[in-house]
Amino acid sequence: MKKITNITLGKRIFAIEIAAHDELETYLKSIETRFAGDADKDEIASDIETAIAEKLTAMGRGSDSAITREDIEVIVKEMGTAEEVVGEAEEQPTAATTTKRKLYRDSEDKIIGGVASGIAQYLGVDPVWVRLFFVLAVFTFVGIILIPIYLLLWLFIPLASTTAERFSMRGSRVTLDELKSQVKEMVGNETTNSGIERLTVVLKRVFLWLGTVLRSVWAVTRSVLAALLFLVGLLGAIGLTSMYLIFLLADKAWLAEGMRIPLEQALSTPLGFAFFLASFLVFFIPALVAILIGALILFKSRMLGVGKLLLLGSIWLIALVTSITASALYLDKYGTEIKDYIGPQIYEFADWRERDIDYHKPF
Amino acid sequence: MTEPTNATYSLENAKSQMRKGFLEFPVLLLIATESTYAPDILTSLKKANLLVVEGTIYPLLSRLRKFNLVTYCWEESKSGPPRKMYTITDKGKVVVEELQTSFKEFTTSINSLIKNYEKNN
Repeated sequence: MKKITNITLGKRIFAIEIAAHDELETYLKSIETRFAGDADKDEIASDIETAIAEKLTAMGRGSDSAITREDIEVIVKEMGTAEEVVGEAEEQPTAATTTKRKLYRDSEDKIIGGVASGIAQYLGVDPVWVRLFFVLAVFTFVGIILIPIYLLLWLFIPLASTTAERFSMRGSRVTLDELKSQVKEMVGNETTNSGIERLTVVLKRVFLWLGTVLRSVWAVTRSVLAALLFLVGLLGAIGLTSMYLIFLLADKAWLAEGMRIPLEQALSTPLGFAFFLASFLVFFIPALVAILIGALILFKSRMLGVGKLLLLGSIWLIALVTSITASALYLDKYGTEIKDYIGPQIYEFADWRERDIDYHKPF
Repeated sequence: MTEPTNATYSLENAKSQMRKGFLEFPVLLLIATESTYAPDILTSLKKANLLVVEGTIYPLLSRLRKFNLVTYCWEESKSGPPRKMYTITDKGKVVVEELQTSFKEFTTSINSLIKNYEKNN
């Protein structure tokens, strides 16, 4: 008596013995690992799965006749092991073991952003040395330019998140054999006690500790900065709105006559009103964005997406262009009048000493 | 000059080296002859003794499709899920023509070398 389970393979249902299932799974995994660097790996794997399913159907296997270990052995012999499949298919035998190395950030080994470990993978050295370089460099004059460079690298180097990306980050495809040798190496490392390796271990611990400290410091700093951003944005938005409301209600609000009259005059023309509205947006949108970004960090809200940011950005740009154009056109049209009216008042206000010039022409 | 090694020369390896990179042409040729499924391609290749393991064909077909030499469409099948039917593309036709010419030249020169060898032995 043997225990069986059900699987789907190439969209067909099969009953399979547990032992055979494990064997089949190992085989399919080894195929997937071999093709991890291939853009069409999913398609190749599913093609092979379908082919195996067709073979099994031809052998009379299905939901009422379970697949045995012997069946799997026959199939693997006919299909070929992962090594055989790749060996026969590749144009160059070497292409199976190395892929072109690309610069990625290492998602599984990071202290801050994974930049150092990504560079280390690219150079083929232990991340500890790149980190040591970064930390030592920060304390020299190079540090001033290094920090923005680090931030830029963080921004522009993609994170290796898929298996295929991790393989091309290392510049090699990890095969089952390589995995085994890696495990052996790791085990071996604990017994070897050369000075450089002990230093590596110590440095690794230091960087891990440093990472924890930096992360908690950053968490606090980020919240404080976000709260400041939120507050500044909020106060700015309120201030701006009340200021523009006063402008808008100029005839009712208490404003010095010298300010009220040109303001009313400006708002009564389409150009002046366009400038008024556009310039409000030019200042209001940054305040709004500050509020939203602050809220995003503080409350992890999802109010601000890339789409909204782009929309706000384009409105801001249009408003900027409109306000510049409108003000230029307005000044071109009414500039002399304004100068004639405001000029003397400013001089009065400043208690200008050279009163002998007569500015008091009628408006 | 390195010392000649005592290791046995692997005939299987030599044959595999000969097949390597060569398999594309017969596969293209089969698809160019008529639109066909992967199992049928495998049967023909096995008959011609050109293939050792069947799995090889799938990465190869994937590569040919990537370079737009062949394309496939899903064909309904009476006895199971739909299957991929491979068809040659216009680009593939050009490649088949070129490979055909160079392969004919290649066989002529190899054959003349073989004939020469047979004459002297």
